[in-house]
Amino acid sequence: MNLAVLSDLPFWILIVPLIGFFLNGVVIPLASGGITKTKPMISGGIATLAMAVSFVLAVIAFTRLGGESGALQYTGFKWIDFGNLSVTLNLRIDRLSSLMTLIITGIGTLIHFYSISYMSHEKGVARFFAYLNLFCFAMLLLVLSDNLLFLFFGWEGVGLCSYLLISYWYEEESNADAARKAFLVNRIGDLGFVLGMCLLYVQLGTLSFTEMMALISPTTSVALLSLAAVFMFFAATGKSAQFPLYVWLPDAMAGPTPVSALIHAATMVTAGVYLFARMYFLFELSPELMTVVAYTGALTALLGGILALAQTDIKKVLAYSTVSQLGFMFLALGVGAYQTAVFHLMTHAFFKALLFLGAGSVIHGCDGEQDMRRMGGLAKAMPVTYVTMLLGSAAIVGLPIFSGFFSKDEILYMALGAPRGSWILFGAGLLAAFLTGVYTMRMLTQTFWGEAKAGIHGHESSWIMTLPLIVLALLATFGGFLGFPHEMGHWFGIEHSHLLSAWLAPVVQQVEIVTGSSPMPEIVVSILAVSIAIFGLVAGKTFLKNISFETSPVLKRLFVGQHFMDTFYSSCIVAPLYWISRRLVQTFESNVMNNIGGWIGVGSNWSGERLRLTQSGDIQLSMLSLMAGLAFVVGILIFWVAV
Amino acid sequence: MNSGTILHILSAYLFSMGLLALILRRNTIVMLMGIELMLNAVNLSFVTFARELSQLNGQVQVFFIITIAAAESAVGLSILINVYRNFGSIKTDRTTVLRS
Amino acid sequence: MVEPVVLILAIVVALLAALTVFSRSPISSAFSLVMMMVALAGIYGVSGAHFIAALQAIVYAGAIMVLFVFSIMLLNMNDEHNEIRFRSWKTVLACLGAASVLAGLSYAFIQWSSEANGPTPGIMTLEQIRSIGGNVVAVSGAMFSQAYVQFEFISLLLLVAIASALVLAKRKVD
Repeated sequence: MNLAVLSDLPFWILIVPLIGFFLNGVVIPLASGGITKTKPMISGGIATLAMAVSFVLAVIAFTRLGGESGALQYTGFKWIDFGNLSVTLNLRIDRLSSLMTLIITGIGTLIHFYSISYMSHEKGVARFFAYLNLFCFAMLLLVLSDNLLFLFFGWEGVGLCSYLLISYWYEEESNADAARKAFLVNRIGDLGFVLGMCLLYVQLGTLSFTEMMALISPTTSVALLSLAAVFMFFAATGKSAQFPLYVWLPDAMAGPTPVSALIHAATMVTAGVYLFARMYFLFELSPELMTVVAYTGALTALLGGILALAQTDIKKVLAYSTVSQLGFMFLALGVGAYQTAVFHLMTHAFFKALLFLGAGSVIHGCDGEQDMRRMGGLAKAMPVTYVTMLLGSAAIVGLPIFSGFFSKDEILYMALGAPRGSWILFGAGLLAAFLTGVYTMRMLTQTFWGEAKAGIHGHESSWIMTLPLIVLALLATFGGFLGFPHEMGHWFGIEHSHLLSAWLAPVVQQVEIVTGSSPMPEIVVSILAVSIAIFGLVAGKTFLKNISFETSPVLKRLFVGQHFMDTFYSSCIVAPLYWISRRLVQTFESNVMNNIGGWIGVGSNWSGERLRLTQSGDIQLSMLSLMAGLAFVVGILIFWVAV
Repeated sequence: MNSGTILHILSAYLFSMGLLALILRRNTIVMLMGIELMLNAVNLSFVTFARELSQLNGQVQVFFIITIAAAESAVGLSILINVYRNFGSIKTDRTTVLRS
Repeated sequence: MVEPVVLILAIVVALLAALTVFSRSPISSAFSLVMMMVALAGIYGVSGAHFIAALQAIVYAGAIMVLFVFSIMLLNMNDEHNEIRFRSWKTVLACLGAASVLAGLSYAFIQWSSEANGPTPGIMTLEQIRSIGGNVVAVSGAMFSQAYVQFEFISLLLLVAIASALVLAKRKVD
């Protein structure tokens, strides 16, 4: 196997989705005579094929990584070479990038495949698949880049694609508004990214991760680097929908459901977690910041859980659930358990993509209905969707042997046992786990169980949609065994049972819990978490299944629809901006700006009237002015000589 | 005051005479002669400088200028003949229309 | 120290130039110009530029001016009267301007001549040129050692000029 493709694996993994984007964005519309005439089977087939090729290459790259510090390097063109700053398109697959690449391309392939059927009724699907492929390209650039600048390209690229895909049905004003909101909120975070990047460059003189890591280890001046870490955290809160910048994610559900599954659950929103795992050496410089990160994560997990309870739209439930799970990840990051965060990132990608695709299947089966109150009794009509959703729910709630069980319990254990952990973080995590049970059960109850409502007759989706559901259900069920806890592994006589941790150890740090320092052993934490989750499920099934926040005016104002953060933003930021703009329009715009055009017109009329006289076509006059110019130049010359 | 200075002043004088011919005369042939006058002024200046600075570059340039002047007058006069054919006159105040 | 020959020739050139500009008929303008060219050739000769003097007499006074005279004859313009209107504000302005250009250039030249630290003279003094073998040998040596590229371009230019003159002047045959 000495093909040229294999020697430049990182490059080809990255570029194949871009080729798919080009084919779907340019070639197919041209070939089929306009983008509205593109066929879902052809466009989707090409897009899926591109992702599948990328996935196969990613698997090959995974097998070729080699030893502990092994990495595949690709040196691309030199983009900036200016003074001390030299930025090259360097791609690097190490163990963390490889894992992320597998998640992106693997789940990406499934979701592309699913979309062929889901989008089959749409006109102009080539646009959809082109954006989707472009997104995968940007996301791969984000995880493959070995320097901050190209990571930032990917970071912005996924933001752009998110914008394009949220507003895919842009004819509706509310969808375009949601896309704008997502874009603007992300911009606020990106400002932090740029500032942090500049600070890092000023401090360290390089943007490459490996070089930065080497420079930071024997650190001297920590203050400004910590500030850079704060900025980076700010960027991550924007992209990964943490408090207080999470408000864009629920609105982002305006996009097609596969988009929500791929971008707003499995990949893009985890970019912040990836950033932390990639640059743990920077964040570890400031324990105070990491404590803030942990508490932010805990708060977000709780808030997401509460808000998920108040939703009636099945996709919004899942959106707030994503916010909550991302909060779990940041909680893990905050206490220093970077590997655990990446582990939860992976399992979450499995089960949340599954839940979203299942929800998409439900919506598809109910002809576009998204309101859970109007669904019911779909279990019989959609058996495959029902079973896979059940497995996904078990995973997110954290029932034993399902993937969420391992990752969430590890987070809770770390929140309690790690040096930066505390009872408050642990309690918040437990409470969020309880809420997870409640809202998941509420969703299942309202959607699949009970009596069928009038007017909604679900039908099972085609095999194209159910096949990815089945694959993801298998992953969501068994994926957690990659992170089988060491402590329990010893009982079965297995060394290093936590495969993921062993895999990531050379590249990602993990806080160590000294035996006996934790108030509770891991098994007790697990039992506690599982019982809390089951309690949540029972509560959701019995006395909370019909909870509605709309009965209480206070709760309704705080949590339903335009909830309190939205109200806060609109009254404290948007309204003053509007006020200032309106005043500017009334004074400056109408008095000055509107008249400038008039003044320019009057001025050119006036001068034109006079300058017209010089253009008589008289050569003699032209020569006269030429001579005047000559005399002027000679005058200057003389002045020069005289001085 | 040496002969170099006299020649420099003569060169300046020839140049301004050429200018005057260009501005005052409406006969295009005489205007062309004015241009020749100005070229001659420059030639004179070159030769004088070459002598004063004991160099030959000035004279080489004059050779080129004379060649260019020959080309210029040939093309200019053929244009004039064409103009005369079209307008019946070569006076600048008659030939004010670029296309008819 | 002014050489008397130069002074006389300069006065002649000045007068003939004025005649060229202000004479009534184009044909007398042309003849004054021819005479002026010849006188200038004299000045060149006195200045040591023998090759240029010969060129001036042959090319300018010979070829170019013959072209002018032929054109005047072809266009049959003997009856054209002098059209300078001396009372016009344009004429006054032009004379003023020409005078100021003259004054300015002369001042600049004189200033340059009396400059203490002017440009350093080269090595081609008259004695040096004589030892090489005369002005023509020296100038052609300089031309073909330093300016041969320009020389080739000039020949190209002449070719273009010939072609364009031919195209412009021929009668349209259609």
